[in-house]
Amino acid sequence: MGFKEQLFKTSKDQFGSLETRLNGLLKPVAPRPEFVNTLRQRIQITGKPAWVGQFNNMQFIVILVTGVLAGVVVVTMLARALVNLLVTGKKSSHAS
Amino acid sequence: MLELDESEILAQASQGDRDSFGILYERYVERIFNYVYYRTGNVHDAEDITARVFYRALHHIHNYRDRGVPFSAWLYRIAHNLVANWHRDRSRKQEIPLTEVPTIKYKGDAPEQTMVYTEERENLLKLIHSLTPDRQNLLILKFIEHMSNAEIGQIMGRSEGAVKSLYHRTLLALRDEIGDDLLEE
Repeated sequence: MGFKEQLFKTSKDQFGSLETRLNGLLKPVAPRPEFVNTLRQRIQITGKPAWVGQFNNMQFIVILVTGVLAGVVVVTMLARALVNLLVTGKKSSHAS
Repeated sequence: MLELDESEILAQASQGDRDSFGILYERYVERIFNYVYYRTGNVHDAEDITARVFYRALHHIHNYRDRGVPFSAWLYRIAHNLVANWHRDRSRKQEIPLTEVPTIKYKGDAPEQTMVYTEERENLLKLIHSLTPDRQNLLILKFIEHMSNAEIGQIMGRSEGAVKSLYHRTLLALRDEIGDDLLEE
């Protein structure tokens, strides 16, 4: 028996029981069928992440535009309130 | 025949054919899930990352070129990168909590056998999770996917000899951790 074969045999003997144990304990797992089916549908129908898949394109655009407009309104109101506060503050300091 | 079929399916999928991509999905979803599950250690993150793998594959499949590396290897590399990001983001390695075990089915086990093996499995998984990512990959691909060293080499970007050597070092490290006495039980 050559050196390589001998080394291989020793290595096989050495790790045989460990490999058997690993083989016995490391088993493939089955993903949940609901997960597999839902993901398949999302990939095949929309190809977009789940939260996007819940809306069609038109709805998505409407929601996006509404969100931006609402943001602009809130920022404008905050800015006006701030300006009013500053103006009132100045007036009251002049009066005193 | 299988390879030819796959290359045709891949060609169609890369042109945006969702049905063809669906066939690839059916073919690989379990394998990718298994890989991610054993790397992350919990079902929720495994599902989340598996979904991301396929979204990413779907959006980049037009970039896939068959240069001797099979499609499965490309998918595993995506999965490997996402798992690496996950570990970096979480900065910790999770273990499989006992309460999560019943939610996943181990293939080929009778229910009573699963109960007996749960604790032993959990200890072994803890040990495997303490290994370096490369060694974890190797064990998963070898024992869960039953891949040859050559196939593992394609996925890990190493030569067959390098995989063999890494495997030997991994078993040595595991044996040192487990101890000879336990192995002879």
